[in-house]
Amino acid sequence: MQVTLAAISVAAGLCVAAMFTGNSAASALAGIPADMLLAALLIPVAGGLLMFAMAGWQARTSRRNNISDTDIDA
Amino acid sequence: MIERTASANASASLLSNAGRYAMLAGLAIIVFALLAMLVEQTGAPQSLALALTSFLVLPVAVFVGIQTRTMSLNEWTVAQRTCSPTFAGLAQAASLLAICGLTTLAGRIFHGGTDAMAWMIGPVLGAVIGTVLVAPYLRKSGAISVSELVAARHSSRIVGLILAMASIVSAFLLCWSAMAMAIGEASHFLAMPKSMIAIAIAATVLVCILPGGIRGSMRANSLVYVAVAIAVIGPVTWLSIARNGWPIPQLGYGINILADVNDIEGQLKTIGGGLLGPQVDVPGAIDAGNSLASLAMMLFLACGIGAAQFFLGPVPAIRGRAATFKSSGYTLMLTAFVLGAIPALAGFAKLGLYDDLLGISFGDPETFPSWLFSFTPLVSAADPSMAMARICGAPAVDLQAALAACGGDSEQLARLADFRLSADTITLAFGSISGLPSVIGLLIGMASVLLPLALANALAQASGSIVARMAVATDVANPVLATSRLFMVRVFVAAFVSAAAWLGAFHSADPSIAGHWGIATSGGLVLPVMIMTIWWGRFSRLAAILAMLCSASVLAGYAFIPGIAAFSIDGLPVALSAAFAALAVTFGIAIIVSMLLPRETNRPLLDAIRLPDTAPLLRAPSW
Repeated sequence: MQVTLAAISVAAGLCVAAMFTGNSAASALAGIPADMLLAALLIPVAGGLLMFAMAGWQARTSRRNNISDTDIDA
Repeated sequence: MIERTASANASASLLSNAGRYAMLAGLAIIVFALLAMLVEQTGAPQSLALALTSFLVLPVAVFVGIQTRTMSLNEWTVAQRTCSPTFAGLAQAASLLAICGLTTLAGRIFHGGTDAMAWMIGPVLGAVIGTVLVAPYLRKSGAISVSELVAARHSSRIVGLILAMASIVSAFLLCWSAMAMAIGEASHFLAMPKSMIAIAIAATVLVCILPGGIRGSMRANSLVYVAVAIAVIGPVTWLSIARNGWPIPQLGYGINILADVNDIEGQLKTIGGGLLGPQVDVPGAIDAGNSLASLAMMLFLACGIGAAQFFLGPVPAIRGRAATFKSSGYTLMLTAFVLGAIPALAGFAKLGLYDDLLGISFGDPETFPSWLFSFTPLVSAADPSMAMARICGAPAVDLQAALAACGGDSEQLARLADFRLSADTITLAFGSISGLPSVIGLLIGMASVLLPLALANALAQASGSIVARMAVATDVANPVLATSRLFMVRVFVAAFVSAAAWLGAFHSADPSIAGHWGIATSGGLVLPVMIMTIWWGRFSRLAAILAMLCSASVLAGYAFIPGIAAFSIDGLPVALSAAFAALAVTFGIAIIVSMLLPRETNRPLLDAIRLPDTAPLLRAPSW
């Protein structure tokens, strides 16, 4: 749970940072607002962090239920 | 039980060491780039370096094929479920970058507006949607393809068959588009007939995935990701350090490059006289002021990518449910790593263009940059009707032709607005525009060909996995039967890739159209059925059949009947309107029919998918 909360907090923080950094960026490229350019970078980063948080939550749930999280055929 | 061969053991060991593999691949590509630079410095023509590059790709593909070869259907489809999340993440990131249209993204940013944002954010959102709603549950079910999961959920081979056909059609259309792009980009570098290029590209894909299936696809695509990351991020980082003293271009462009671009553009606007104009033509781009259309495009891409076979195809081979989340995490991070550098690349290219094109005179040939005339007679891979570089509307052949097209006054200064480049020219010519060594152009060119090939790899392999279980719902315990089915799968994949390459070479006036319809089929039909199959217990068999048939009819109506296509949103592809209509029809019919019929939930399968403490009900082939 701590890992999940930490990752979600970091993701949310990044999104807020993107808004502020975007607004304070010096300029824009070809009419695209700078905060949108930053959002294009930070959305996948935030999404990635969310996925890692969900992986951590999944692994923890499996451990709590005493089951293996891997299911290989070998 | 599966009899593991020595090569399979070696393969499994390598698959679990994705980081080491990626580092080795990166080192090999850097060594190759250094060799190409040495070749150039000896005075050898650039064509020799190009030939070196071209003849490097096929042997690598053959090596991957030989190393991953197998006669086991299990190995070919799910690699014994031993794939590490890092490896899957690398492979999926390569496919995701290809669907973003990495080669044209910088041109889209030049074009302005929020069109580029739709293409950067849409596929990424699609990966998030696919992971949150579908992928881990597909993995937890134990099915080797989406159609097998749907067939098992509804205990109906017909439901699985319809979804399998829709998934294969979607994958084929995307593969057709990818092949057209790869052939178009390769024709920039190879002076060979299109038919020969098509054969070479189809052969490269087939030698990668026919022998080893998912292992071959993942290994080759991971290599492609490493090559693309080096080709794109390397030169941008170099420029960022040289110009701004900052080594992370993904985070620095907002403060450094954009300010420089804005200063120059401010001065040009002050001077006036039509000096500043759009320098890039992007076929089918959304108008700069139409944010709503960009949002619609973003949602269209997100829905389509969420259930696309290149994304869901590798999922059944990953070790477990948590590893599926993790692989998507790596996919998104690795995609962000490259995508984040594209605005910086566009910014540096824009500065380079201003350096090269401002203040040049038709009376002084020395002021014209040589790269400007090096593209003709090449055409854009994204739009074969468009020359890569034009001056005053005419292809940039030489200075005399440019002068004639611009009015014939040899004393006049060339205006920035006189020059027009195709969207992919910005990326492909980035090395020359920015004054970097020509090996950079070589690496970026190689990446532009390899990316669509990675997408084709993933789509063809995923379609093969669907075919492996399309006709039967039960396991094949007999090794002889499994081997004969693997033979059928390989024949299918060979036909799939060959047909896509042929169509891509000779029937692609606009390569993006087939891709749009592939995304529409995936987003309008496959995604809603997958979501309801996993998340709505009441979703019935008859509702699934009716919803899919009606959705397919809507898509076909928009595609083939001009009267229906007239009901599409202006300024956006017809496929986008078709996808939204199909999505609404699929959900609407499924909900209405399911509510009218008695409940027929397949509770054991739903529990096996969704509850944490249950084992998978479906199994991969034993042989």
